[in-house]
Amino acid sequence: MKNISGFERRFIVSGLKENIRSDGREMFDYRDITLQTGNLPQTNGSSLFKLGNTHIITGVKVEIGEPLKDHPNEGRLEISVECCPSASPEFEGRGAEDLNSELSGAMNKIMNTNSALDLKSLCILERKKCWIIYIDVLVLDSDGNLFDSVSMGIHAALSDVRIPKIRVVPGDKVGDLEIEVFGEEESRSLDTSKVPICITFAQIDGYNIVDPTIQEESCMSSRVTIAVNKDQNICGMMMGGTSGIDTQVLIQLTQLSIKIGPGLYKALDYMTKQNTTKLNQKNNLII
Amino acid sequence: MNVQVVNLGEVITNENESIRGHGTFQKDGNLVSSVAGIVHRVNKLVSVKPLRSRYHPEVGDVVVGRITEVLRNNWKVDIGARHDAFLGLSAIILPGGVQRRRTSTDEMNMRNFYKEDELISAEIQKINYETFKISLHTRSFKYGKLSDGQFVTVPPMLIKRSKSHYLVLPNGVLLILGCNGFIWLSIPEESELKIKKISNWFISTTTELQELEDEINENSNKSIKDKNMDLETNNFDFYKKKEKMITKEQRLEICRVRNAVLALSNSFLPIYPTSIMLVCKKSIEENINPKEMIKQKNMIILTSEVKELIK
Repeated sequence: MKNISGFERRFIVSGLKENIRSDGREMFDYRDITLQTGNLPQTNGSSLFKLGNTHIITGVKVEIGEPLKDHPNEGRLEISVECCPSASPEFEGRGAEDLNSELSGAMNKIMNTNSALDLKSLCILERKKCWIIYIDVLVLDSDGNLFDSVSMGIHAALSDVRIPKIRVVPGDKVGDLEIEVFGEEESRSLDTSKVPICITFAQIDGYNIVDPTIQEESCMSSRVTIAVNKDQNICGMMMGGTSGIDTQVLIQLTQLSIKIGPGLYKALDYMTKQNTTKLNQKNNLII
Repeated sequence: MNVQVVNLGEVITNENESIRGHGTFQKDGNLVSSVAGIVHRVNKLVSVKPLRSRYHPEVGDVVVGRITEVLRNNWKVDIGARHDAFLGLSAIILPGGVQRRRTSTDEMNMRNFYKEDELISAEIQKINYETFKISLHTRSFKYGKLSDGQFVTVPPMLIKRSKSHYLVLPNGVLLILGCNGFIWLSIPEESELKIKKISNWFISTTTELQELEDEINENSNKSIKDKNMDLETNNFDFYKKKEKMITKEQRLEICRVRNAVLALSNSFLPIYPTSIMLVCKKSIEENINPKEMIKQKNMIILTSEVKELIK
């Protein structure tokens, strides 16, 4: 985390008493969100997501593979998050390893379940073939609040994904089966209505704020990330930081996240809709 | 004004009489640019100043820096240049304002003056070009430790070198524009200052511009005098920095100026008191809250007047 002086910290904390943060936001205000989908033409789905100065690029590739032994009639997601070394000085070399595994693990936990996506619809042949959705997230620039940005970037990329239509035909040899893949015009999209997004609360001296910047993150004593979906259900909870959180406070935060969720989804949907009108004119990389 | 903007590898001139300065090299008898920037000509010396580069320190620059290390008899300060700067123990003001030789007790007490990660404002005293040692000093009341405020970073070339970098704006915000692009926003010490609401401010004619500058200078000088009081009272109070009581309105004004600075930086416009005040004034006219000033569409509206002024 970026190091800041005790005086700057004092200023941030006294600002929280008045409900004013460093950029004039209030405790539960999110920064400006910008979203573009379909930036990477070589992928099946992609998004460029910006939350303030945090820039996240997500690429989704769908491949045919074998289902897991304990889920023979389901496909799966494989999410990998990487923080680019140029995003922040502490990501240089192997500095980002812990953060990468934490983010990847968190995203896998909340999204790779039947309650987020219909994994059964990704099955092609029971026990033999299924769709595997590889999601690769790259943090290009970090200004705090990576959990929320990564989850929203993944949500946007998944809503942009087009899975090709396939047909199973008998192969050359007897008993063999081959998969015929149709063109893009006959692809289907995923139902992302239940995909959750994360809402992070940072606790600074007893005050809880949403969407911390990198300076506020260096003052926080603990962080709670709550995953909510469109139906206002809690899908997961993660904690970080050095100090603990009171149970009463935790309950208040979960209720708060349910209230904040719909506003975020509204903004995401509005921007995704704006992008789908340009779907037929797929541009080159727009950054 | 005729400004020649060149790109990397572009031929500037093919006269053999020109002396090549920084940012140029000779190729096939031509003078070619090695950076993307603006051409400067002084008689026969041709150089190219890059549009975006790291801060290039000059003697006499006012900078804001962060202490990175406490060494034996000096502090290492990060000023965003290619090398770290050094603030010597003999280059700071001692409590009580005395002038004496620094002893080993002072060396032991260095952390009572400045600790790691603290922000200071200082002036560049000298630069040793052979060893690249940049020496700072804080031997004036306007320099020293910065407390109870906000820190913002902008590209260094947006800050013009001017007479004063320690400014108190008419809306009551203390602004330290470091030449290295590091900016400090806070509230000045005393409230004897003439605080005027931005909405009553008109900056259209040159006389009003002059009035604005005069008022800023007056307020800034008053603020420096009040800092002087701090020094004479107690030992180490000057360095301990008691917490300033900042009201909600003052805090919102700091946010407004901070977002104005970021809006100017976003549009790559020069940052100086007039441009900042123009952006703040526009935000009040258009009824834009500080927290909405950082939205892309608002930034364009806010900086439109400044763009007109620059032309």
